[in-house]
Amino acid sequence: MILILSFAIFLVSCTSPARLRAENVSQTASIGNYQAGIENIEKDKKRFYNSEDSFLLEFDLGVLHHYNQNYKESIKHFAYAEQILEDLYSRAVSNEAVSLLTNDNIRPYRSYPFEIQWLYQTQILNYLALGEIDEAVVEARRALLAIQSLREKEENKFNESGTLQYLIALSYEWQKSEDDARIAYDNAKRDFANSSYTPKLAAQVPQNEQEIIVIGYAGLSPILGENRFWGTYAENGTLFLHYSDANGQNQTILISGANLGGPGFSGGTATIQFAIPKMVERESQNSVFAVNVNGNSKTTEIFSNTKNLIQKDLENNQTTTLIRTAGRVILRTIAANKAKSKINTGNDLANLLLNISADIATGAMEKADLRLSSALPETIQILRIPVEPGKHSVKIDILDKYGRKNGSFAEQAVNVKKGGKVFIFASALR
Amino acid sequence: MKTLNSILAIIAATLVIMVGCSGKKVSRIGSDTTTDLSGNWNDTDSRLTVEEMLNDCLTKPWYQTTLNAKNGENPVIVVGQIRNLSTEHINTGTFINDIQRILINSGKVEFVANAEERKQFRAEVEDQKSNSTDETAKERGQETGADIMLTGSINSIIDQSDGEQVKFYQIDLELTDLQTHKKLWIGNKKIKKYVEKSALKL
Repeated sequence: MILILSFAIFLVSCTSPARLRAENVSQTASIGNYQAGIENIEKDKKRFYNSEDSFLLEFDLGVLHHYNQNYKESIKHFAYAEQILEDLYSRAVSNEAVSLLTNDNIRPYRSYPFEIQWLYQTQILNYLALGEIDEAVVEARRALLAIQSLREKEENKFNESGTLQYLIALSYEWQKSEDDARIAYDNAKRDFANSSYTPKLAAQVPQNEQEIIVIGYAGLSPILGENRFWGTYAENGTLFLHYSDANGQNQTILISGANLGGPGFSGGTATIQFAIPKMVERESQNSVFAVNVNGNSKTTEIFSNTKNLIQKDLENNQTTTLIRTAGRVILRTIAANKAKSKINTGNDLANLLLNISADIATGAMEKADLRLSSALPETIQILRIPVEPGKHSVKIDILDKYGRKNGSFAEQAVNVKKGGKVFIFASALR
Repeated sequence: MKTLNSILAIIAATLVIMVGCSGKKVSRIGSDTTTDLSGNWNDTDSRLTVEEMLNDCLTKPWYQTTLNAKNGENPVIVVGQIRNLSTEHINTGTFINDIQRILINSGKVEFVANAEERKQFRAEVEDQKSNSTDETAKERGQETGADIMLTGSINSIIDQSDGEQVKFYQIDLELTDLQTHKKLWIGNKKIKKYVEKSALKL
């Protein structure tokens, strides 16, 4: 038993470098230096991502290359990420077994449903930015298949993205597949209605023959921190768990023994503590974009707020994570107590030290799974401006939540062909 | 306690198995070998589709009719757009190259460069006007006009549930007379695949 505990401690000694990743984004991407953020990751992948985080590595690189307007590289990394997810469909018995003994970080990162939708959303935008309409629609069809799989897996908990459906519609519209576009716009309306927020552009879809479409990314998305739980598990009985809520008040919840795995957990009373992920917001200074085309100014409209997406996905997972984690910690604590009871060196001080070491070891094994992309913006915003065919001058200012100017992008000349759409991306992750 | 020991024993055994599963092996196989790994569109699909469809194409009545109309001269074909309307990012370039290779090697038709390639060639001819000797510089307006355009699309329909997926591909190709815009030949090839993914692995 001591050997197994030692091996498990060895496995968890490689901690999740979630904090490093968040720092990299806040120090580089937030000042617009996406290339530096990419290079930092490329130079030292192993420091930023454990081997189980390969999806996150490719996803983050895909996002950063997208901000950097290197759409072909972004496509490549998102395609790798998609392939990794596909390969992860089969769960490795070995990983699942080890995670039962250690913590969830030992399992390959499978992403939250909102991240999967974000992947397809950005892939569609990458192809639209390149003007590869048929390929954007290929991605739209792939997105629909992914949505179907997520619906099956998550059932009624699935928070379907109106923004993704809107972009699917936009690519069909550009391809002149009118029926498919109409269906996707209707789906977008439905999804926005379900989320209790419908952007005006989704409620009333503009019919623009030619247009400039601005996609804005503002602020920094929340990351994950630890929400600590502590309590006592009575033999064959109930688990009393305490935690601090968002207002700092201590709360108590009860979980019945049956939910924790039933009779397998009989055989002891244990005092336990562990942590599960909770959302931690990052302060965002940028709020919206003012877009000036040929002297006329309009502001972008928020389509989705990443905070809401993370919040919903975390809530959907919370009960499962809580029960799995509590069950694992109880099992491990009981095992450690049994091991301690058999240790007798004949020396009181040595016995005490061994007992303390065993407690520290079992405590060190439990780490909340804080993996989540830290490269996402707080909001994604869209503006569609109808224009005549020809050249247009576009100037974009970044505004804070009070409408004050925080910065601006260099003025650019845009050539819109007859019947064409031109996408302009504005990323201000601060 | 017995239950606890059993759980720990199972976990320990799994850890041992885990250590044994690693490594990479590469072996060379023939380029015409049928391989199916992911269930996605692959080189085998492209090759079989092209071979089957073009064998059908060259034996259909349009060929003899066109040959007669041209007094025995081979029809000249240009490749138009082959659209990818599927759920996979298929490189239609390799598919088109396969089509051209088989048709040219049949000795029954000739191909001219497509619209994109022609732009490049015309730029080269322009460049020769300024930079090559008079004897070697090529003349403008001497291109061969195509008689027929080949166009097509790759479509797919996916039906999926849990770990099961049925992939149906339909490849449509057609030849159109560029003078009359009459459709001379329409061919299609259908491919159906069943893909099953396991929820668990060692």
